[in-house]
Amino acid sequence: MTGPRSPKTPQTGFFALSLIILSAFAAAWIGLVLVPYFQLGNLYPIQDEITGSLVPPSLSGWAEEGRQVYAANGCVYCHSQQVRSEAMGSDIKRGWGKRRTVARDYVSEYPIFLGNSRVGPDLSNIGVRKPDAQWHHLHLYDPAKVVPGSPMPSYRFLYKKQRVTGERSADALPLEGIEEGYEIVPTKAAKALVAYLQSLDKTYSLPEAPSS
Amino acid sequence: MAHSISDIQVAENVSEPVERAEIDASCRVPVLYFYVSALFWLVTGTALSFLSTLQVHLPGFLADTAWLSFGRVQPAAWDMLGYGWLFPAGMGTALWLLSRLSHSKIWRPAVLILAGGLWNLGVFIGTVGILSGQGTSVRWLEFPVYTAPILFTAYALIGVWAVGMFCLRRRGRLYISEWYLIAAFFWFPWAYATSCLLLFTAPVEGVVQAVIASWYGADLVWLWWTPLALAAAYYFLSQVTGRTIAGYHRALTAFWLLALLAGLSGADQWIGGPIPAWLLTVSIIAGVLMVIPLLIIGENLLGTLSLAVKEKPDLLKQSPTLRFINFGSISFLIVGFLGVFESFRSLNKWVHFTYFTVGYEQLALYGFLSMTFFGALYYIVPRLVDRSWPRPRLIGTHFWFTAVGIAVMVTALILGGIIQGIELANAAIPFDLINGSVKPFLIVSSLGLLLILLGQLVFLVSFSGMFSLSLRTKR
Repeated sequence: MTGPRSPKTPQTGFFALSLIILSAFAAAWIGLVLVPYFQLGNLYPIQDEITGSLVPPSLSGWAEEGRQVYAANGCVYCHSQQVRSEAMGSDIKRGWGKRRTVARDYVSEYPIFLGNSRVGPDLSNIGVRKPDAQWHHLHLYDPAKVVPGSPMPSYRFLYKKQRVTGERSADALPLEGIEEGYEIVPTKAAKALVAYLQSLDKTYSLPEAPSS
Repeated sequence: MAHSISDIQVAENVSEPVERAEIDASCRVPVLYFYVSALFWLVTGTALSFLSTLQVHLPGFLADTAWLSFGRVQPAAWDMLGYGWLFPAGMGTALWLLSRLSHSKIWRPAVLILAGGLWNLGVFIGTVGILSGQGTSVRWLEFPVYTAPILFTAYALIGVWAVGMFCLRRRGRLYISEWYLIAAFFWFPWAYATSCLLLFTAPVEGVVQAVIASWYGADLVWLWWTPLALAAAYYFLSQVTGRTIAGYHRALTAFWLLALLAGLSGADQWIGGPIPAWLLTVSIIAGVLMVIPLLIIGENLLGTLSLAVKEKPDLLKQSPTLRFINFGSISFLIVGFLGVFESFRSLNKWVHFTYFTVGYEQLALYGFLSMTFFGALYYIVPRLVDRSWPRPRLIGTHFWFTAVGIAVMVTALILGGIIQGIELANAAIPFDLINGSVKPFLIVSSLGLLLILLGQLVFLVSFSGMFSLSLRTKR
């Protein structure tokens, strides 16, 4: 009978051992960090043939601020921002985009919100589907009122209730059932978030992903 | 017979009981401190997670309180579980295992208490950061950037202590648990530092962020928590059953394959997305090949257990450690195979973006990792406080509440996710209707989570009972 065969542990020194262990890990580090870093690190926006402007366009300051509000409030845990090709899902049929999105679409996005969950619809092109700021404000304030049956939580805390002084504010939400003499207005964060949502538009054409 | 004695038993036999008692004494305060703080985060994290599932059913619930809004509570709860519970529970267990396996006392345990305190401070600041609206929305790295130096310093101290203990060991063969522990203590800081640097300090462009974030997520689960849990599982299985690990000579092969493949498989969560095709292909191949280490580890853990149970049918009832580790090992295999399943393009299409993924993650966190660490706690804590568990019945209650809760929650999420996926793929079904068909499954899964929470409270009762008993008699 032979004794148990145990993993051969060389009486190698500690440093040799740690080197071996680290090199196994390095494979993935090279594959998923280093190579993509160099391959994708030099993508840049290009000039649109028709309009002559750069695509993807860079966002306004307001919209960039809204991106931070989007991050701080965890929108990405329910909404993706990627359109898959027709072969990979119903994204295009559902009207979430006319073409699949590609790496170049995201070159200037920081942080990026590709997303892993679709409890809510994809938002890659929400600015095109819902261009109206008021729609977004009403929706954020009380989602189920705008989209019946929506499980989206209300973001009422992004709005404030204030006493009407003189005339009603121009940006007050047209809501019923608000106490007499009061109005609901968006905070700065809500306005930035809506500006960001309105800016989401990947309908331009790219050489590697033409919007046919 | 020589071949029925494993390395581990040999190791245990040469160490005198006196030596063991001394080693345990040096571990007592730091390891207990890690465990107590871990339990705090476990219960608060699970409670917060339960709150967030309620918000899915009642969208207006707490909507006026920014701090408790769904989009902040959910990531905060995940990170409390991950960084608050799994980290200290796993590291405490690792320190104890390393001191046992290398026959060395912990040198200056006070440093570990300091490091543990710093770690908890980091987790606390990070949690408050997320809840106050400074979260990053990068999965598993949601804590605001300024917590990274705190967490890294705390980790570095603990890591140096763990590796240092290993360096001082007497020469001899390494047990498989030592391989996993030492490797994990090297891998985590590499992954964490790379990710923090390239995502926050000097951010990379566009989709590279997503690739790195997914690589970090895979490393955290498969090359940090998993090795810590597997080290415990291998050790206690052999230790409690008194048997050699079945198919032990293959265990190291599984270790190397896991080291090579797990990180690479991370990016397969972007299948269909705007990521270069070669990268996805590499990830998919790595994800599918994971089946080999899974089978080996499955044979090692469950093979040993089934042989031991054949010999002693009531083994699982007698040993809470084995009972919990058995559940953890089965969950590990299921999680692994669900992961392989998700790696195939053709199958991924049906479950991508759905609650299936959530179920998969919950099974990994609660079913595999938490249950395995509970098994370790059931063995280690009595030896540290010199008392046995006060009411054995509470152990059974803890087990069944948790086990049933996990089974209910995960089954509901996976089935609900598959239905959600089938409906998502069919553009003829309006999007707004899909949530209606998933809703019953979500309600069931919340109930499952509630059972898990109750189970944890039961554990807390028996843990604090034992603790106070030991304090009272010491005085």
